[in-house]
Amino acid sequence: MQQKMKKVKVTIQERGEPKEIEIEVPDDGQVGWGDVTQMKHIGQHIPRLDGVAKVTGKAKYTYDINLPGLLYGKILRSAHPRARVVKIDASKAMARPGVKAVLLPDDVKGLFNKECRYAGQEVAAVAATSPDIAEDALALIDVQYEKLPFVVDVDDAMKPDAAQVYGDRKNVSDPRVREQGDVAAGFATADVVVEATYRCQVQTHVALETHGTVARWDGDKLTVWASTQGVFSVRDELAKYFNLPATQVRVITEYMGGGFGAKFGARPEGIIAALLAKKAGAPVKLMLSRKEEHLTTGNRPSSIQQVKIGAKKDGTLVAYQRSNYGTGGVAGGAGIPAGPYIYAVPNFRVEQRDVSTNAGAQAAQRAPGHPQASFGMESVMDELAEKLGIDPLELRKKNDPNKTRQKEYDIAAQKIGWERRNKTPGAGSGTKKRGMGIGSCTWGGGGSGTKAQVTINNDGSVEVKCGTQDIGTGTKTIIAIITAEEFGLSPQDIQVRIGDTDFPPSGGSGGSTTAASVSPAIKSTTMLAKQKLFEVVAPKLGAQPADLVARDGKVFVKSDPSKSVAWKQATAQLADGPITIQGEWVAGYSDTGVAGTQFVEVEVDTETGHVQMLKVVAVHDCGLVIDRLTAESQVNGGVLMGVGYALYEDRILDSPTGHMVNANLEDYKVVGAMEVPEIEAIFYDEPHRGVIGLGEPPVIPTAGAIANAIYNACGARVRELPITPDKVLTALAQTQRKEG
Amino acid sequence: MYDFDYASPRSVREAVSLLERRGDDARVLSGGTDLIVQLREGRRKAGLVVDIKEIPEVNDLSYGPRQGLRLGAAVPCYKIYGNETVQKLYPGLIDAVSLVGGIQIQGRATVGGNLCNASPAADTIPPLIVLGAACVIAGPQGTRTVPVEDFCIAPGRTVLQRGEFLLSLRIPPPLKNSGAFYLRFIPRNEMDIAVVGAGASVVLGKRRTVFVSARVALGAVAPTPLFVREAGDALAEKPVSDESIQQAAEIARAAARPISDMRGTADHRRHLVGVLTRRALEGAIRRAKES
Ligand SMILES: Cc1cc2nc3c(=O)[nH]c(=O)nc-3n(C[C@H](O)[C@H](O)[C@H](O)COP(=O)(O)OP(=O)(O)OC[C@H]3O[C@@H](n4cnc5c(N)ncnc54)[C@H](O)[C@@H]3O)c2cc1C
Repeated sequence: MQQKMKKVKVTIQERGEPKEIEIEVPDDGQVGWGDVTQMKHIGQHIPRLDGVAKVTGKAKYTYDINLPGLLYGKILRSAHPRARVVKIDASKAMARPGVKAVLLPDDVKGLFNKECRYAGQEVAAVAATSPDIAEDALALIDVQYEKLPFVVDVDDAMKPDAAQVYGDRKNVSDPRVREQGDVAAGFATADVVVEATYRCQVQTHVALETHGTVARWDGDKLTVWASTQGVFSVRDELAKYFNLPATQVRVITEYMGGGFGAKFGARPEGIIAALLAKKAGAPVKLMLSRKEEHLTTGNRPSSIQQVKIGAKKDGTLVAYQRSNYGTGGVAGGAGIPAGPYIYAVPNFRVEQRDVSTNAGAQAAQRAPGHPQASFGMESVMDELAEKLGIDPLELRKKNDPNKTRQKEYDIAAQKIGWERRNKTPGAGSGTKKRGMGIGSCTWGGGGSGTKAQVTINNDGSVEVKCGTQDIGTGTKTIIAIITAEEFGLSPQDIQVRIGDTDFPPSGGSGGSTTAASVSPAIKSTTMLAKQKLFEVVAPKLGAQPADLVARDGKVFVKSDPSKSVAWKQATAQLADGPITIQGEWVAGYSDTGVAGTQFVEVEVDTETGHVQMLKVVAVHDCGLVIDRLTAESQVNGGVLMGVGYALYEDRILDSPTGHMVNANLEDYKVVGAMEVPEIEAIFYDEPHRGVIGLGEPPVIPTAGAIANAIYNACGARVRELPITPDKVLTALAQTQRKEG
Repeated sequence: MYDFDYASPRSVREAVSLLERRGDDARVLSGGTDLIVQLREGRRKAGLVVDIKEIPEVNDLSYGPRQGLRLGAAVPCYKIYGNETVQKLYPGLIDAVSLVGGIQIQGRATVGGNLCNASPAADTIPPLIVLGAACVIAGPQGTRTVPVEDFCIAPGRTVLQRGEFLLSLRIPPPLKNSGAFYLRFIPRNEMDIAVVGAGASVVLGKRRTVFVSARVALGAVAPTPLFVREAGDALAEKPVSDESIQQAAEIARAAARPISDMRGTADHRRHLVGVLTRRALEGAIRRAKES
C-alpha cells in the first residue's frame, strides 16, 4: 500500500543556522490527532511532572529568586481614596542607612500620579537592603495630600450629587445597548413574566503568589523574573518603556503561582522594579503584599442586573430584558455577555453601564463577565420555572440551543440523582435541609500563534523549548505528554523548557487559550522532528520513512514490527548531529467553543443560615483531553473559586473612609480545605475537535447553581452574592412571612 | 517587623523580675500565634519578648481527682486534645481547643495565650468559664487566683498587673451527672473568628431529669467573653425540657450586647446566641447523660 504524502515547510537548524526546508509527511486526508483509543499518554491521568519540585520547595518562583547584592523594592501608595499630592519630601528616607534608591512622581513620567483616585494608587517607591528598611523608608517619606471628595459605594456613585471620580465625565457611562427582535411585542405574548434584581459583589483574584518582579541590569541588558501570565507581553512592554530593542530584554517565568487574568504586561510594579534597579545600580526584588494585591492588582467588577423575562405557559422563552450596572473602580469594563446568556430568546434588549468609583481598577478575572451573567440568568430561570410550575431542568432543556449542553444536562442529572431533589422547595422537617440547583456556562478558548523547538540528541534525549508559561495549569506536563506520545517515549523522558523569552514565542496564558495554542505547535513540531528521524532510520530498517512507527521506546516497521530498533539506537544514527526543528501552531488540532453545566447539592442550616456544600457534579467539554488529571484540577479549582464567589468572597470598602476593611486573607474569605465539597468532574469527550481550553469555564456556573440549590433546599431566594448566612436567614424570614 | 530583645527565663522568679523591670515594654510569648502576627502588623509593640516556655510550671498538664486539672499556660492545643484524661473528663474544653485555627495553629496556640490575648471572640474562654476554671497568676507578690470570668476587662486587656503573668489554669474535677459543651458559628468551617460562641455546662439530678445547676457563657457578643449567670441560674431545679432550655437561651439572647461589623450584624448575632445557647445546652445535657 503506497501512502499518500504531502509537502510541508519546516525550519531546521543546520550547524547552528536556521534553514527552511521542505519535507514530505504522510497525508491522511485530514489533520488531526488520530485514533485516541490507541494513545498511551494523551487522555490519561498523568501527575504533573513538576509536582514534586513544587511541594518540596525546589521549584523556584519569582519570589525565590535571590541574586548577589539584591535590594528590596517597596511602593508608597496613596493613603486616601481621592487626593492630590501637594508636596512630597523624601529627604529623610534617602538619608536612612540602607536605602539605595527613591523614585518620586517627578522623577519618572507617566508612572506615578499626583492625582490619586483610589486608596492604594502608586505615589513613590524605594529600594533598600532589606524589606524592613524599605518599609521604614516608606514611612519616612513625607507626603502632603489635599484630600478631595470621593465615592466608593456603587449605589452612592450613581446618585446625581455623588463625588465625581473623573472631573471630565459622569460616574455612570452611557448605556451600551444590544437588541434583537421586538421586546415589547415579545412580552405582550408572554403568559408568565418574572422581574427581579440580582447583585454580584467585587471579587479579587487572590492568586497564591502575589504580583512581583526581580529586575537586573547588565549594562543595557535587562533581565527580569516576573510572576506573569505572559513573558512576551512583559518583555515588549519593558522594551518599549526603556526604549530598548526586544533583544535586550529577557523575561523568565519558570514557575508561577496563579494569575487568573490579572498578570499580563510589566504592570506598574514591574516597571518600578526595573527603574529602581537602574537607579540603584543593583538588582531589585519587588513583590507585592497581600494587601496590595487586594487593593491594586485587579478584581472582578460588581454587577447589578435588573432583569425581566417572559415565557409561554409551556416554558418557551419569548422576551428578555436586562439592565446591568457594574463597577470596575477607576476603570471601565464592567460589562457582562450581552444577551440572555446561554438561552435562545427571540426578543431581547440588554443595556450595560459602567459606574466609576474610587477603587482599584478591575482586571480580567477567570471568565470575565460570565459568572455574573450566569448567576443572574440561572437565578431568573429558576424563578421562572417555579412560577410556571415546570421542572427547572426541563425549562433549561427547552430553551438551550446548545447540543453539547443538552447531553451534559442528562449526564449531570443522572450523576447527582436529580430525581432525589426536593420537589417542593423548603419541604421537609428538621433544621437542616438539602437541595439541588443547576448552573451552566459557555466559553471560547481556541488557540493560535505559538512556536516551538524540538531537539532530538544522538543519545536519545529530547528537549522541547517553547516561550509559553505554566501558570499552574500543567502546561509543562502536557507538552511532555504530547511529545512523548509522538516519539513513543514516557513524559518523564522529555526535557521541557518554558517560561523564557529566549525560547520560541508564544502568547499570553489567558482566555483559556494556552492548551489550544501550545498543543498544536508541539504536535506539529514533534511530527516533523520524528519525520526527520525516520528518514535517517528507514534505510537501516529497509523500509520507507512513512512505514515507520515510534512506540514503546522503539522505532519499528508497521507491517513487520520485528524490524525494530530501540529509540536510543535510532537516535545514535544521527550522524549529522542532533535534529533541531522549529515548528508552529497549525490549524486542525484545536477548536473553540465549549459548554458546561454544574449540578450542585447543598445543605442549609435553617436556624443559622449556614450553607454546607455537599456535592458538585461538573460536566464540561474541552475537545481532546490531553491530561485528564490536570483537566480535573482545572475543574476543581474553578468550582472552588465559584464556591468562594457564591458564599464567601467580598471586597468590602468602607464608605466613610474609602478604605478596604478586609485586605487580608482573614476577613477576605476564600474557600479552605474544609469547604471543599465532593467534586465530580466529568468530561464530555470530543477528541475529534482537537484541544480546547478549560481554564475559565468551570468557575462560571457554580454561583448560580448554588443559589438555586439553596432555594430548593429551604425556599430562601437570595439574589445577592455572596450568599452569607444572614442573607439566607433574612430571605427565609421573608418567605415565612409571605406564607404566614 | 522591628527588632526586639528576646529572653527565655527558666524560672517563674526570673520571668517576673524581667516583666517587672520592663513593664509595658515587655510581652509574654507563649505559642506566638497572636503575638507574632500583632508585632508584624504593628498592632502591638514590644521592646522585649519574654518566652515563657522554658519555665516548667507553664508546661504542666496533670489531673488529680481532688484538685482537678492543672493546665499550664503554655500547653499547646494539640497536647490538650491528645490527652486521654482531658478527653474523658473535659470534652467541653476539647471542643474549643480542637477548633482554634487549624492543625498548624493548634501545634503552637495555647489556652493561656488565648485567654491573655483577651479577644472577645476567643474560643477557649467560654468553655473555661462554664467549667468554673480559675487563673493562677504569678507576680512580684507571689501567686494569686482569679476566676476566668473576671480575667478579661476589655478587648485585649486583662487584670494582669506590672510584673504578672498567667502561670496556669485550674479546672475543678467534673461533678457526677455533669457535662459541658462549646460551639461557635463561623461562615466557613474553620479558620474564621467566631461570629458567636456559646459554652454551657450542666449538672443534672440523679435521675437526670432535672437541672441541679448550669452555667452559660458567650463569645463575640460583648467587649469581653460574657458569663451569663442568669441563664444558668434560671435552669436550677427546672426539669430538663425543651421549654426550660429555650427559656435559658432567651435569657442569653437578651444578655448579649453584640455590635454590627463585617463579620456579622448585631441582629444576626443576637439570633445566633439563642440558637447556639440552646445547642450548647443540649450538647452539655447529652454529655451529662452519657457520663
Ligand atoms: C490563622 C489563625 C487562626 C486562628 N484561629 C483562632 C480561632 O479559631 N479561635 C481563637 O480563639 N483564636 C484563633 N487564633 C488566635 C490565636 O491562635 C489564639 O488566640 C491562641 O490561643 C493564642 O495562643 P498563643 O499561645 O499563640 O498566644 P501568644 O501569641 O503567645 O500570646 C497571645 C497574647 O497573650 C499574651 N500572653 C501569652 N501567654 C501569656 C501568659 N502566660 N501570661 C501573660 N500574657 C501572656 C501575649 O503577650 C500576647 O499578647 C488564630 C490565629 C491565627 C494566626
